[in-house]
Amino acid sequence: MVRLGPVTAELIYCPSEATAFVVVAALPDVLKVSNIQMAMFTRLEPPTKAIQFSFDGELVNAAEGDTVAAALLAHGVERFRTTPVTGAPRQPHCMIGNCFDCMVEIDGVANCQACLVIAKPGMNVTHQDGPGEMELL
Amino acid sequence: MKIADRAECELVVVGGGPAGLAAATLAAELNIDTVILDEQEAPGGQIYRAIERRLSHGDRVAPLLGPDFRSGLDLVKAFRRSGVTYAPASAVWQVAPDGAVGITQQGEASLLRSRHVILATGAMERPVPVLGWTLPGVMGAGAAQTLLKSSGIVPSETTVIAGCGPLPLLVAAQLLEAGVPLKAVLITTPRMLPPQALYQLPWVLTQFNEIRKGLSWMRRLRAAGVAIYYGVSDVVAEGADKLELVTFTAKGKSLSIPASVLLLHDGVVPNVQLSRSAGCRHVWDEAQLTWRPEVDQWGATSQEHISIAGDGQRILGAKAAEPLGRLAALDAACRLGRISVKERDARAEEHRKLLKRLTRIRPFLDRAFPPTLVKPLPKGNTIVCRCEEISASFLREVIRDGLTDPNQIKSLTRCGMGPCQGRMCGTTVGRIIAEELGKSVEQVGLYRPRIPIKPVTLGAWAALRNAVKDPAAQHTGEPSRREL
Repeated sequence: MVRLGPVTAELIYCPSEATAFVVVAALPDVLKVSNIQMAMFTRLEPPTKAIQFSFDGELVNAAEGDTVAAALLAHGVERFRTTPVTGAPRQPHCMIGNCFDCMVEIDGVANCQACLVIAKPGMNVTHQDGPGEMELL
Repeated sequence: MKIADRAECELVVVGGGPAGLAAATLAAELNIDTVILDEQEAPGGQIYRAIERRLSHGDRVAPLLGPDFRSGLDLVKAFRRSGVTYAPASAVWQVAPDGAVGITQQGEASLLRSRHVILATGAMERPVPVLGWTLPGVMGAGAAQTLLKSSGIVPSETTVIAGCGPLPLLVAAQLLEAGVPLKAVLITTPRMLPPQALYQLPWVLTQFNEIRKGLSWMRRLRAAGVAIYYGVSDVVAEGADKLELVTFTAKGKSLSIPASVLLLHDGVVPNVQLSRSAGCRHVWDEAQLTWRPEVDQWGATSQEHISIAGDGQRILGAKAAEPLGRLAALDAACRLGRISVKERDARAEEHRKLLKRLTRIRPFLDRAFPPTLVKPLPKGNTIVCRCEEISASFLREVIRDGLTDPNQIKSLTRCGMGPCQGRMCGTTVGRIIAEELGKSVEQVGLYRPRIPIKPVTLGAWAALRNAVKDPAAQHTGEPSRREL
């Protein structure tokens, strides 16, 4: 193997573009700063088959096949639950069932992973607050 | 199908991605009574998520995902034809060393007894504990891609992508194609390839297609005028109740970009929660900064009745997961007495050849894109344990006070005891302890995961008629690190 040392891949592949991962990209001269606040997530297209469920009493439009988490994100929900320790708001982070930040209450069952549950018409979903409560008999 | 109706089968495959589908399809061909348990609603795994629905729709999303996504359809079709019992929406909360599998489906818990289990639980994005990573608006780049694949949902135009490797570029290119003008792409690797990656170039040049794909993503980003920074470090997410500002260092300068969504990605790691809770032996991979199961060339683990296929073994990618799944299936067939050792070895040859070809680019990718964001361990107020909100400085304090075992720290501080059960913090905690004590991560060890590793309601648990034993408790009281 030839020892190449700290030679840039640009030089090796010159003059064509190097691998995707080393390609030169012109750095922007000035960073464009804008303070426009927008929704975090949007749908590319309105759902072909829409279904409806409720979140904290509000009607949410979902597409058939959406997970509850996806539908809530598209609806603009920024607080799925608050943490048990400091009460900080949380939103889905991993979307595949590992982080548990998307936990919500679905039809009376707490700690449901919204990213794994498919939205069904008429579901009653609520956010979860803090440590939760348990009635001791 | 309703999985609670089944009490036993010969082979259980956990996971409906390429490894699981390939394994189950071949097992069915070999007349093995196979059940596949999938957390998702339909086969495909994360890589080919919602592929059947997506490709039958003819909407805007499928073209965005490209030919790589479409290529999964043959695999899914072959699986559908195989006659394997498919259990969708099934969360596996236990795999016992004897092959008993605990499942929850539609709120109902059940046990399925099997003679062999193939874990095809795949990969997860490496948790990236930077300051502010718990804020709403901060998610994985892979998570954003999941939203795109399953629902055609995209982040807003004030999105910043930060990280390394091919995925952030792919996601950026897909989002641009979808009409989302990104604010910036922060690449955490230098513009220059490290020499150890350049040594691999001869192999890389044989993978022209892969290179061309990467090139086209970069070209699209540049054509769209997206700001691209290289050698980025110190990525921080700032905001009160949600993300407002992304700050970072590039070329020695401290910069900031207002943003509503920050997509982080520092590579993917094997999802080892099940294999660890099943008591399979794991090793620490220092180059990839991750734990992975110890497996032989068939994916067999230290537990006789459990093997692992696909990215759950080590990260080799979705294409390589298919031959890995088939190799595991052949070995299972041999163990179940369906084929002889000789036949297994003969049939394995084609799959090994394919595997070799598909993994040629891997040493280059591993060296060109080592973990970067997580390389410097978190300090100060940075949250390590998302669930219990334990900061790096608090952890370092308790370690200096004498808590040196991850399980001790878990018991006394609740770090790693929240709902994610250490999935997001376990590796980081072990690395912090190792750094503080000047030990290796292997010596320090990792949390002992306890079943159920997925939430099961008390009602569902009580309705279970069969007794459930915690496999970790069956060990003989050795220190936690021995149980890895």
